[in-house]
Amino acid sequence: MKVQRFDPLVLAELKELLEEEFPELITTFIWDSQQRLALLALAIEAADAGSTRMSAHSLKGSSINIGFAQFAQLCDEIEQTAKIGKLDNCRALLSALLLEAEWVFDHLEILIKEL
Amino acid sequence: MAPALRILIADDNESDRMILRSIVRKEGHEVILAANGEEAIRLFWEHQPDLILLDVIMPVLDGLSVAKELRSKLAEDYVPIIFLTSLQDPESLAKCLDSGGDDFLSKPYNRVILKAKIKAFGRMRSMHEKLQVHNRQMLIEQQVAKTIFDNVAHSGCLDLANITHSLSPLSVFNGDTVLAERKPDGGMHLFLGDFTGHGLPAAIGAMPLAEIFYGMTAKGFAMEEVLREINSKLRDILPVGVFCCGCFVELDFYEKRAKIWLGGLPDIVCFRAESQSIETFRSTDLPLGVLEANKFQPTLLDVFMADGDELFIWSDGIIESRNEDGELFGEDRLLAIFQPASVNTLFDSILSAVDRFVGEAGADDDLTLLSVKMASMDVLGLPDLDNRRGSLVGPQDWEFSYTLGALTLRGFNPLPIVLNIITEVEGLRGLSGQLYTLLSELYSNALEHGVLSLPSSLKFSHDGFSAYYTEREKRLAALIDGEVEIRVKHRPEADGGVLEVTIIDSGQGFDHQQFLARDFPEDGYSGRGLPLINAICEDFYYNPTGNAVTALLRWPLAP
Repeated sequence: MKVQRFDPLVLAELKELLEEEFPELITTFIWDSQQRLALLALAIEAADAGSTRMSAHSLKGSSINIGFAQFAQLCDEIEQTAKIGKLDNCRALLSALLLEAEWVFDHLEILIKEL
Repeated sequence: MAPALRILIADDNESDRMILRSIVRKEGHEVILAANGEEAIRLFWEHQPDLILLDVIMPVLDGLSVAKELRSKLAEDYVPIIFLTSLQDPESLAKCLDSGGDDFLSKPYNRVILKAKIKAFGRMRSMHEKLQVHNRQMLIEQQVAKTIFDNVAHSGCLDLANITHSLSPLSVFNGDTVLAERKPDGGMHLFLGDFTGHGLPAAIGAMPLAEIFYGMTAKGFAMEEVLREINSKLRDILPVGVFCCGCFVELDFYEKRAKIWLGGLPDIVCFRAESQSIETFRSTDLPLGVLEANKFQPTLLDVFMADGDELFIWSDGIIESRNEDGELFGEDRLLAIFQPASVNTLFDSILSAVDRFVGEAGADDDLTLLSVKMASMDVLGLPDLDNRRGSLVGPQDWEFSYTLGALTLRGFNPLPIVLNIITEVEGLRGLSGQLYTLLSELYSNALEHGVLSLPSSLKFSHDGFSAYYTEREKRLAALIDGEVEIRVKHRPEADGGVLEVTIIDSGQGFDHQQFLARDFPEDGYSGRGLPLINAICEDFYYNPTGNAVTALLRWPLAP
């Protein structure tokens, strides 16, 4: 399923909501996501289906809230794939997710600098 | 603006926490943040929040476990739990509600929806709090009401050895009541009542019932008079549809007789100690409070009971107990318990059989059971009717004469009134039991042997006794001429007084010498008062004709 890569309206709303805390939210998100991506990679490496699901689920939740739908969609696919135990398939999905993550982080870092 | 709430947010994603915190704070609420389930529980008890936003999937302890843990410990307090979730499948969402959650909030968080949910659940929590306050208030009121009720209703002699009863602790609110009181003549009145309905209406009716029961019984009124008074009082005060099913028992421990009235209650059982058999008695009358006073004609069963014979009386709560399958306990199961072998433990057997039957279904707290044994007067002793007024003054020098004509003699018992006047003298109040026996002995001699000319030789066996009473009723009903005069006089003395009671009848006079000479007969039914008369009276004599008798009592009695 093709989804919109990200929804700029969500970020605009968050900016309005958090005001001066907005940059902190973005840096927190980036830092937190990087940690979780690392954990996710480790879990897939170790063929730990439970941890894989957990990390993917968590990344999915936080990325939806920031408005990055495609990133969330990839997380969801990993979560579902881990759920049926196909850890091998998760490796391929992880590469796609890491690529998407780079795009997301770049996008966000530019956004902060522009503030 | 809705009141500010204290809201606990538990989410392991720091960015999600920040977003939620901002939304919630913007609405003016106080925020407490937790990063995992364990922390959420700790902070919950520390800060006592009004509402929880709880992530489902969290490390250390997940949201479902947190919800379960908190719900199990929050018995009365209602703290709404809104699950935060990006789960979509119905099964997972249903699990959230099963674990004790009240609602979900899906990611991405929508500020408008979250705001509306917080407001709605804040309102629910405050409604719940109000309800709790009302509840607590109601419990306090119930406790006070129960205390008052207990003081009124349980002042009698339910703790006597020949009575066993079981009444749910909150019976005042299920409409069941059990009363027992000694009569001044040594007998006993018992009452088991079951008001229709539950709660306050049922409890309110029990109050005047208990007042009348104890008041009139202690003053020596007969069972039928007490029943009539209760019926007309209840009929006056209770709304239509509220009435009292009941069983009234009057026990005479001298003559080993029970008078039973049953209105609307299940059949009662008399267990015969000697034959180890049971006899049942059926209700034929309407409950109390249904009929107008002039239409109320209580049917009284007259039952001979040997020492050890036991009456079992119950409300329909026992028969109508249901087990888990909704089956009724029923009368057959109840009667089957009355096996000879279990005679000593019948009472407990009934309760435990019902208990086993009901099982996990749980009793409705409606199991009211009363049993009373015929017993020897030596075991029970005379009633101790205390002076509860504590006043030291009262009438001291007085006298009166009360003459009863034929029409009055037919169906009126003057003794309660006479006893009431006498026991206005404080020093005589403690003797009211003995005085009642004295009066009733003298009065029934005057009426039966004097006015009605009944020979006392008639009553020498059980049959003779009932023949005697049949004849007595017959002659009374046909009575046209005749009267009994009761004269009472009291004079004060240094630290007490002298009471003189004279009873004169219009009869021919009877052989009082024989009456006075007879010893207390072991198995006899008459003359039981003589030893008592000798014990409390300083002087006691008949006039030569034998139609006037005088008893002189000086108090305080010599020890």
